[in-house]
Amino acid sequence: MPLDLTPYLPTQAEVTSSHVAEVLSRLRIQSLSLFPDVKTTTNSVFGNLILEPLATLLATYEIAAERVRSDMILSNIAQGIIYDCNFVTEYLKNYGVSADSGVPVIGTVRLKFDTNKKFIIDRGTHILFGSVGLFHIIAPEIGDVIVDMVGSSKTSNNWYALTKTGDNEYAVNLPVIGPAGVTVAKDSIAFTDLDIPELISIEAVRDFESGRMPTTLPELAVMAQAISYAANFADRGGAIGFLKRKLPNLVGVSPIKSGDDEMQRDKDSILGVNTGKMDVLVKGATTYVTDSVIISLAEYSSNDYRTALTLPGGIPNMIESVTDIDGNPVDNFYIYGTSSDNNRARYASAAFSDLEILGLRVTTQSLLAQDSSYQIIKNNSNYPKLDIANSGGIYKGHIFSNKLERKIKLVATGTKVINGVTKGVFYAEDMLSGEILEELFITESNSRGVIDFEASGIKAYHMFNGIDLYFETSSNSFNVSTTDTFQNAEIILYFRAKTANVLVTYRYDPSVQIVNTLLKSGDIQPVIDVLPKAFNTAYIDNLTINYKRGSAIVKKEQIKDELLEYFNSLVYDNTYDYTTINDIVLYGNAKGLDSMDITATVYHSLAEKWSLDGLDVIDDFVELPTKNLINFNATYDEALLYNIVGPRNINYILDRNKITLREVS
Amino acid sequence: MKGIKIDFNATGAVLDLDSMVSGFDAVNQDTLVNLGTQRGSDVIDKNRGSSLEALTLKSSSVISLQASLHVANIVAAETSFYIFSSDDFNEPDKLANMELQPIALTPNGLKLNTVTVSISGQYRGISTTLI
Repeated sequence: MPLDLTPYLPTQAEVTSSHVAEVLSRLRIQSLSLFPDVKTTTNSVFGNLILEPLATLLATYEIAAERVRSDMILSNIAQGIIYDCNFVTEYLKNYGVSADSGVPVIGTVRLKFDTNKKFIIDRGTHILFGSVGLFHIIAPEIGDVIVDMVGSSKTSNNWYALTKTGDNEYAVNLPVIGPAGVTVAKDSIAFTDLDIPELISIEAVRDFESGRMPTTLPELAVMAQAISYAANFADRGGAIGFLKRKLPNLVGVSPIKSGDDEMQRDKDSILGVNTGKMDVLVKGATTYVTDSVIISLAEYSSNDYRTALTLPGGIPNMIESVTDIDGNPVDNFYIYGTSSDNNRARYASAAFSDLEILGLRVTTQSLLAQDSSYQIIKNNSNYPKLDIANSGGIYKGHIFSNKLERKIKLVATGTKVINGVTKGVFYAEDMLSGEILEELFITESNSRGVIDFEASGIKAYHMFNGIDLYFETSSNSFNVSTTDTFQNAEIILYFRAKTANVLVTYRYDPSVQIVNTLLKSGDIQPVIDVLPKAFNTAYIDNLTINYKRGSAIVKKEQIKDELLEYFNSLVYDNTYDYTTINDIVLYGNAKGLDSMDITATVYHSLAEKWSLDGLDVIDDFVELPTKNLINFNATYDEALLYNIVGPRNINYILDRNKITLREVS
Repeated sequence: MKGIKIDFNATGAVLDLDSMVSGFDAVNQDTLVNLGTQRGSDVIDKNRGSSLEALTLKSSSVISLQASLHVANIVAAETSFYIFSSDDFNEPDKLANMELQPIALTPNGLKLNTVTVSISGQYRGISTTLI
């Protein structure tokens, strides 16, 4: 089909005589080239009656052709220079943007329940803010969303765990997605069609990402420009383009790839062969969300309580305080860390990511604790010949486990001779998490039977993590011979730890959890190893601004407001500079900046010590100290357990009470 | 160089599509067309044409045959310069000179005699009447 230029033709006034004269000149040259003996002068019949009208027509079509080209230049469309909306609409579809591909609103909601139990939530559940804000849960995998009990184990990417947030109150944060253009403010309450009596409320954790309405072609063109970089994770620009398209209001996105100083996840290959890895650090808003939750710890030893720090907000940027539930400080608390996957993120390179497990240890005498309990049930009174009265165990707190109780079923299946020793074989099942261990052995003994963890390796260790268990036989002989009807004997062991509660106040960025969820989704899962992270925290302990006084009254509060906005939004590739500080001071009516004193504590991880293997042996932990960063321009190049803090992953947190304004003259 | 012939007569200018002019005749024809074209009437080329109409019919400057000499000099110069600058660059026999001489001023009009000379020395003398 020929191109119809009619929509692009200019009006008569838009065709200038100089343009026509220039076209006429070209036509004359062309004519003389083709027909050298034909007179083309303006006073000739051919020149005046044919070439001149032809030049006028040709000039209009040249303008039309230029307009067609303009409609294919994204920067022109973005400026609103559009000649044929139908064509531009179709053209922009080549970039994957169209009027129906607006950027949806993405946010995080908190569901509060009054009971600690497992809830199955339909992925199509309606979460309605106002009359038009219909949101759905972002579920990376096919199937329902599982909201499991406090301390339960992850079973899929659609799995979330409850956290105790108050007396008879348990909460979970879920990412949700809704139509573009809907505004949802922090703490807004949502209605739902969820028929769960235990559900107390659903509320917005913070202001939702506003999304973007694809109302105009210029906006679509801007979007197309942004994604003209391939929107994938093959390079830095692609990663930024992808995330900015999904979450247009992100304050900062900083991809760190192999070769960057800050990329340490690719340093563990013995042969030096690295697979493609990328850390993607995101910051959703200038200030983080502050949240307080009640965390239950399990007693490890007298006045020593431990648990994995599982927080409903996800990855914390900062632990502000750990107190008893009345807000009184505990004697001592320590944060430890380990990587849940030393293949993907070895040691502290997992810091500030979903792969980091933070453990909380509280040593105090002031916490009120609930006593532990232990129960053993067996289905066969004859065998195994366990003396229930004398068999037993305790559940000990484990620094990297948030489980407070265990219910383990052992099913006897027979015997097996290992290294010449006949042992009873059990299948073990963790009845709370559903985890099954195929073989577990009990060794014959004249006194006490022993659960042989070593024979079954690390999985058995994790299943019985923190359980100090012993069996005592009811006779002198613990005989596993087949004559004792060993088959199908069943023992159920129930442990509950001695527990105590603390109130943990922390800051976090809901965007990190959203990005985590997005990247787990099957249709956009990157082919390279992409690990979403929060920025490493540099907490500013002191910011003293020494200013020179001007003639007007200095607006100190204004200066503090702007300093807060400035420092808290500084992420790569925005770097700190004195000029901006000086401007802030000047706009606050001071004469200028004299000097500045600044100290900040840099966290390689929020953990102060790191477990290389995930075992709860604190004596083996490696020191991972925080550092005091005095000079903001310094690059922090000290690799601590595979973690480097540098310009690409540092983020400053500044509180108002840390700012001091001093007049020096 | 050749072009379509224009017949100039008492009723005006008429295209003669069956005839052609060539060489200095074509240049001479261009000169007459420019002389009779009102200067500024061409939207593309504002320099085209002459002030003949403006200085005679639309003003009262021609009050005597002597005064019409000034008009003739001005428009002859305008036309000469325009033809010099606009003629086809590969025209072999270009305009070299032009004379425009008033020969009669009557209540019915001004009669001018036009003579053009080519660079090769060819003369074309044509008497015309402007009504």
